[in-house]
Amino acid sequence: MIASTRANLITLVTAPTVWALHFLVSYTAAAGYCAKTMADARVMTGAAWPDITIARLVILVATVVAVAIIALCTRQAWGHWRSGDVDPPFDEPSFEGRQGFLGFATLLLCGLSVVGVIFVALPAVFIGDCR
Amino acid sequence: MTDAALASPQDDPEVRKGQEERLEKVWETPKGVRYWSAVNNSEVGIWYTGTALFFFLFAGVLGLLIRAQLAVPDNDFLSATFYNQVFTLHGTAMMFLFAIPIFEAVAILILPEMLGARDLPFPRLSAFGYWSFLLGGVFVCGSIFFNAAPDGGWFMYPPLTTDEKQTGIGADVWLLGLSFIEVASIAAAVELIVGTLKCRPPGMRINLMPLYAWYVLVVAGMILFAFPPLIAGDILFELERMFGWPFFDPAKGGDPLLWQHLFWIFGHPEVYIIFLPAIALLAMIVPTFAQRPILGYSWIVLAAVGTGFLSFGLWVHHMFTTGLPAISLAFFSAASEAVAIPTGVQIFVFLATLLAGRVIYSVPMLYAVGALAIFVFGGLTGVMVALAPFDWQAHDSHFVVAHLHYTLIGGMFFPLIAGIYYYYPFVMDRRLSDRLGKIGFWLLFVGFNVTFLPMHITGLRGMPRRVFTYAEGLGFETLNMVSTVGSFVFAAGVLVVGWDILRPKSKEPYAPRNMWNAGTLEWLSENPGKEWGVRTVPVVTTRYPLWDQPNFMRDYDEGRFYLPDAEEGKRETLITSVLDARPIQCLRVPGNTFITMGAAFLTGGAFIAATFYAWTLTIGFSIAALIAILIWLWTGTAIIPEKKEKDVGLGLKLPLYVSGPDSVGWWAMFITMIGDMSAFASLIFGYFFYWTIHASGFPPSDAAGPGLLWPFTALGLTVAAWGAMLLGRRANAADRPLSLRLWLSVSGILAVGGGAALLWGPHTTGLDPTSHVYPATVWVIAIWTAVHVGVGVIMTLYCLARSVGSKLTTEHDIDIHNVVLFWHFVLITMAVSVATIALFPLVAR
Repeated sequence: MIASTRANLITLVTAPTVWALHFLVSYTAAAGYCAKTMADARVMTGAAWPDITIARLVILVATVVAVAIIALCTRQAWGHWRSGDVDPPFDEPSFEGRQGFLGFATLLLCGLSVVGVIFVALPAVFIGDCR
Repeated sequence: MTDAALASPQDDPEVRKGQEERLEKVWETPKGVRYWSAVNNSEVGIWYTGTALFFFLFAGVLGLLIRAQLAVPDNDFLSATFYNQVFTLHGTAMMFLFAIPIFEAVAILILPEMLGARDLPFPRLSAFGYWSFLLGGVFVCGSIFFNAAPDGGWFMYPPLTTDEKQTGIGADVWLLGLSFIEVASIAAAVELIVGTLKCRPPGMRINLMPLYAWYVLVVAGMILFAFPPLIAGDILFELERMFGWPFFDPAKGGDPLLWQHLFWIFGHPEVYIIFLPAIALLAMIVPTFAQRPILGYSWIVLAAVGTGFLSFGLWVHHMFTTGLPAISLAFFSAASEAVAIPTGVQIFVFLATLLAGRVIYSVPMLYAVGALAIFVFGGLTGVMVALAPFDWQAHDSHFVVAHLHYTLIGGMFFPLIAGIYYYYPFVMDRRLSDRLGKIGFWLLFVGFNVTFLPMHITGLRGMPRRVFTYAEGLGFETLNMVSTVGSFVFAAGVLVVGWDILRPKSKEPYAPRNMWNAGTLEWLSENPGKEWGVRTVPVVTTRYPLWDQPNFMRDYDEGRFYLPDAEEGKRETLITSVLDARPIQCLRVPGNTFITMGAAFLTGGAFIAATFYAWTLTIGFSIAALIAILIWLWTGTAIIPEKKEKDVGLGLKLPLYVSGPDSVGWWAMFITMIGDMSAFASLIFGYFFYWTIHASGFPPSDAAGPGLLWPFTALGLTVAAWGAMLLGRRANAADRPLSLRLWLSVSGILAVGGGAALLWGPHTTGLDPTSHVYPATVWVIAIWTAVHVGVGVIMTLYCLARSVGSKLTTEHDIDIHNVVLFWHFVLITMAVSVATIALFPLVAR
């Protein structure tokens, strides 16, 4: 369904869905790891903040995978957009009009999604522990 | 009629007159008391809108009480406890009884005609939703007259609100009254998604859909994922309040933060659920008054879909001060900044369209421009509070109050008033006054800014929100007085607009048809409006058919498209395919009835009785509601038509009965179950949330249950019950009714065993849900799953009865397809439950 010669509502939302999953993985990895490793009374004991290298690696992998999938979506959407040789505003009552519109809207969503993925990955670049 | 249809019957005025008379009769609004049995979108839509606006006025008065109390320091106009009720109910009613329902109300009112449909596919469901909303809203609002309103803030944070000594019955009123309304909202969302996807006019491909419909689709989809977490949270909350299950009690392993998560997983998308439909109105208004197509249609779709997704990654920005690790905050801060991108895109698209067109300055445009100005300001302060360090300063201060009012009033209230001025002639046949509209606008615009602009400073100077008074000499006096004066100016604006809407207009002339010279289908409606909704279901080939399709209005008036008649005296509309809107079915939509009102009131009765812990009454109402719903289903759904197909005009014959994925009922079941799955996922999230916060020992070392034996017995029996349903469906397809009935019976028995076995597990291993959060969590997952199995059994028995009553046959098999679909989801629920409560403890540490 996701890889398709015809653009549809599923291909339209693939990239933002990837963003959502990437977000979920990043948040769960970091928050879950910190919650699990921080002893209940860390503040009392004065121990060092737990290091989150493992979570950062998970986020790195997730980011690479997410960007790769969105890149594939982008390539497919580009194909859909260009296939019918129609121009904006894609309002022809034809298969080509529909395909061009969905391809172009998908392309825009791919752009937004990749920005979103990079935004969400950035904290893991700068933050190294659970403080 | 058949002979005439072959020629060109619409040429004959006599034929057209006969058609129009028949259509009038079929779609006639009932008179007298039976008026309230109406289910048609135009009646329900008006009631819905009117009721939501009434709740707005009510909540607005509460807002004025707040401002009156805060006008001067050390004021004793309201007592502290009553003030708590007032601000809680102000927020609650504005959000749950006005902002969200008005989306559903307006969509039910205008969407069908915008799509050239005579009604949405499930009019009775809309009516059910409306009556639920009315009852739930009156119940929640009425509580303040008994000094029993909720008083813990509109987001109801425990442990304050789980403490029954500090918060009385008000918390129960909030939880149960609003849960009931949320169910109605989900019903509306299902209706609107199916309506948008399947009820478009032939030819209206997905790239030609009005932008309003795109927004409706996105927002209804968001409701499916946003509301269920709150319902799940409500369930946990009530279990704690009523039975002492310690989900939010740290002394027994619980955590109040889980409520904050579940509330804001709902609460932040909800902001966009409010905002997007209002912006959708602007997306209709702006092209009309620019007199040109929207510039950047695809960009609007990007913005709507993009915002819909990103809005689910923002919820923790309401929780920046809860002590979560910095990295968690940073994810949400990043996503909160990212959402400004699609939000900004919409505004630029509107500006570009206005720049490229020749703008007609009118009252709706005045409100639209005011909306953009206010919303942009609120959006910018939003970008500020999305930064965690800034939020630490501003959190829970009046700065946040100012910010949220800028976004909601700019992003929702002003566009709504623009929409009211724009659509009033379409709905009520006459026009509103330009003069009153302009006076109202300036009072609202000035009053709003005078109220809320100084409030930013009040907040930055350190005045917390939700305090009932403040001492002299802190620098708050003048600012608060200015805000209070502004709020009454704003209220005067509301009165002017309200008077304009309500003042008698019967002596005024009807508004001219399509008075704004708009391009979309809803403006085909005549004044005075006809009750049939649309004269004929048109064929659409452009985004703005009234502008771009030659002779369109004449052909429409002469009924030259589909379904120009109601020969059989039934209410009908067309069902089309999702992407290309190819006609696939002529759907008979059900007519007026009191059963939906009865079902809503009985369901509401069960919720209200539970508020007072009146369990016998609760059970009685629940059973009565179930019976009412079964009668509704039995008499009003999957009706076997008198013939297989029907000539719908233009030489096309369409089936009257389709089942499986072709039918709207199947889609509704599928979409409903997506919502159901997100509630279940929230409960499972709760289980793993507790696992992460217990550094060691979840499950606790002394917890023995629920073991492996009983959960796996339950899973095995459920798989068998599901398999029997599949065999039953196959038997029905092969025309073996006895075999069908046998398999249904077998499935029912196996399923009862499966549900019971799942509950037996925690029971027999001695898990006491009041002792610790672990057994409570296991129990709530087991009960949720068992209830689903139980509902599945009721559906199975319903199919059995339909088969015996010859309403479920090989040819007419809607029921079995939909019930099997439900069982697929039951199986998933059971499998995930068992994996979580039985298998996870084996690997947990």
